[in-house]
Amino acid sequence: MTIHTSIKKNAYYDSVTLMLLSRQLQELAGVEDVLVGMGTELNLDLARDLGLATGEFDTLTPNDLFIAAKIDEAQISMKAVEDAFNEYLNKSAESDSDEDYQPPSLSSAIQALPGANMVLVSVPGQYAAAEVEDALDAGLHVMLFSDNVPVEDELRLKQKAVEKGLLMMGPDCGTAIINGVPLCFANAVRRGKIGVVGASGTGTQEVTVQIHKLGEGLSQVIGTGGRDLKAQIGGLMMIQGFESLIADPETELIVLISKPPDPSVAEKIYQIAKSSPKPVVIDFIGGDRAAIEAAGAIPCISLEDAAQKAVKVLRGQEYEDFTGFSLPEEQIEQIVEKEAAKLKDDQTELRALFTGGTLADEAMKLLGDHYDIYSNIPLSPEMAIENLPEGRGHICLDLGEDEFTRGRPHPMIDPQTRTEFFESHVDEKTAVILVDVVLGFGSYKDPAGAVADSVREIRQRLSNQDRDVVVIASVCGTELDRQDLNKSITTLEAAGIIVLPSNAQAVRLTDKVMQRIKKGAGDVR
Amino acid sequence: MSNKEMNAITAADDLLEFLENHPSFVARVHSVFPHAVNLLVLEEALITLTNQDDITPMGLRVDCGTSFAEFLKAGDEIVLDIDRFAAINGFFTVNLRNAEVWETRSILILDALPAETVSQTRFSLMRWLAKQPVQGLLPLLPRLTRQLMSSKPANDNLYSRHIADDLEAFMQAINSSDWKPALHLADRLIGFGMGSTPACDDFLAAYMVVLRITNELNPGRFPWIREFNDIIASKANKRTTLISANMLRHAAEGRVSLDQQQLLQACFFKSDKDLILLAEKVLRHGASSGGDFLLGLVCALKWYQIAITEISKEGDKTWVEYKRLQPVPTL
Repeated sequence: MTIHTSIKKNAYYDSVTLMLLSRQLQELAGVEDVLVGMGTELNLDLARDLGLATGEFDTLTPNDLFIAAKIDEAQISMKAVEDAFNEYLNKSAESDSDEDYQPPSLSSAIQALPGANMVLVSVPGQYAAAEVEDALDAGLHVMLFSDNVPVEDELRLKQKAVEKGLLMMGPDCGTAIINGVPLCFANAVRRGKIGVVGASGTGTQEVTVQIHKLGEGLSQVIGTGGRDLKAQIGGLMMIQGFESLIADPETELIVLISKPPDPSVAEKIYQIAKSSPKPVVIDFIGGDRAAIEAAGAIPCISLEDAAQKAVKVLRGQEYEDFTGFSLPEEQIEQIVEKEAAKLKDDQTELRALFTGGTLADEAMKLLGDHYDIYSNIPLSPEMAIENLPEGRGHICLDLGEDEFTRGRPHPMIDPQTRTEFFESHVDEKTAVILVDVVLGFGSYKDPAGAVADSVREIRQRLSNQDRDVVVIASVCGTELDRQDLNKSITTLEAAGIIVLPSNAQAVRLTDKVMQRIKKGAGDVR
Repeated sequence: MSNKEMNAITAADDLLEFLENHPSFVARVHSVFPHAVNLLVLEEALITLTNQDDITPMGLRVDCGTSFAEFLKAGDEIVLDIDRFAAINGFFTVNLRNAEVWETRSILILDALPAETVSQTRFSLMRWLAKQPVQGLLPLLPRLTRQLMSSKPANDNLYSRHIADDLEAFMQAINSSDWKPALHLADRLIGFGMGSTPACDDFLAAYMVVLRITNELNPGRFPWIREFNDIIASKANKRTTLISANMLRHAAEGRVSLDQQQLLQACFFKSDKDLILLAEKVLRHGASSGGDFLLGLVCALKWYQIAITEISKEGDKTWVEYKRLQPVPTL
């Protein structure tokens, strides 16, 4: 073994580069030990301690780079070590100059990527308006992921977008698919002829997933942000998106999704629907069915129903409200009997733990006629979770709401919040646990696995009291999602969870099990 | 090559002061990185242009969409004016007219949080830092903070292993207010580590800025701090890289980069920003520089906790032992 030193006078490299280079040089055959560093006194001391010093150290200054190496010259020469160093350095410089470049501002991003026509803004809410304004001034469409943007700013920015013929999706817009490119939380779905404008994230995801499962695809999926259909904003982006899809030659049918809009906003949308040359399916979750029909649009009773009707209309088929199950009714009844039989008489309560807000909302609306459900997004103020009598009753939570995500990621990204709620909110009185499992871009790598683990732990805990619990889930995802729909279903079923193909069907099965329990134990309302 | 024109987004106030006092100064390009370039002025001071979010003292954040290495090389000469930088070879210009001014010492005029709050902040920072990838000096976090916060074994490295004893001795000396030994031990730290800002310099920079802030908040209480910082900055001129010596000189005066400044504000003063988000931004500096600075910060905050607790005890007349301040060491 011989020791050599290579010196680069007045050479400066960041420690990222030097650390990577050191590791790579260390792996070369014939290199026993290597130290790369700036020629400071202490670094040279370290090299001396390691037995890597040579006489050339005397000429080094703190601003020189040195490579000190102990090598087996039968296998490698110092020249080869230097060549390898320079080669790695050049590769690093190439990667630095393009892929790793992080533009510090919107204008430099535009400069670095000429031809881009859309900006995704995700900065703290108080700074978002200025960024969006710059983007709109530069003629770019905007998806605004940030929340906490003042409503006055939202109105001003959307008015500007409309004037310029641009989209301003958001604030708090989490789902869009533009020209086949999924943005933020979206599922991998095929392209096709159905365009969607949605004011709710997971609601839009559920509809696009169901359309994909039925064999059709999406042309564009435009988000608006949750406040768009309130009177203050006037549905500016719903209308902008709606008119864009009417004009889009690739879109043959349009689906609109939102919670019930302000009546003044709804009226504007109905007017456009009346004159739309393309069929329009509207799911204003719990909205005014008669008004929708009067506008010549097709009303829906659930997100799944919206997808079913959209696909049938596109194919020129007859349609009616989809209120049932994909499985035959007898099979459903068998499941209900089998699952209800697992429960003791005093197991009567529902625990619906959702990561998707619209899915939770849909669940409560579909169950609302039969049960008093307490929630953090209640259907009426008296059903707020704070009013839960002595901690007992049916509960449906949207775990993605601000009160649960402060200081931690959204439960679609990190399942920990729901895991904790499984531990704290499921007990010996719980009869049915209802959950959503949302796959897709932006979502956790294995949400089904996290739910399955929680359910196993719950069952283990309840088994000590000779009890079990019914767990019902739906998976919002496709076989193209990286988490894989089929793999997720298998994971859930392996944990004894009943998996239904849509949120609406999962809720209906929950209702049937709960009704079956009521028969056995009296009204629990 | 065509002229590369760009605009300055943010300019450090000390840079603007320099430019006002040195019209049409000719600087030389000292070192070029993909995201930053250093210009040498007055033999040993550096002006740093960056196209990233962070900005340093004597720095300029510019709107540059490509790597600086594409149009600048070491040795190029740049004429500096208050409203414009222009390369003599005509390859690039920076327009400074619309740059926002960044005040490098703005936090030093704020009211400090109670010591207990600072202590809680330190603990939060420490717990978070324990979960971060262990690079640079970070394997030494459990040892230096006397915490066993992770069940995972520390993935140490040659540099951290070599310097562990000296770092611990330095920290203990400062915590015991033994300034002379601390300065002596600093000799074992300045310039140690890889890269253009060696790891121990980042660690020391955090100490120096915490000392400086404490001094400003408690005038007259810690008369040795100014000299202590000045001596380390002076030693750094000979013992570490020019880039790092500049960083330590700024830290001695209470100046750090914008990201570090915002984190310090969240530690010592009222801030509406999230502590961990700010720490994450600092952690992203370099390969290990951010982590080394953060390690220095949690260690220095421990000293702050001890020092301020002594002052408050003294104020309440409940202290039982008076720790005599050490004489100011001389150069």
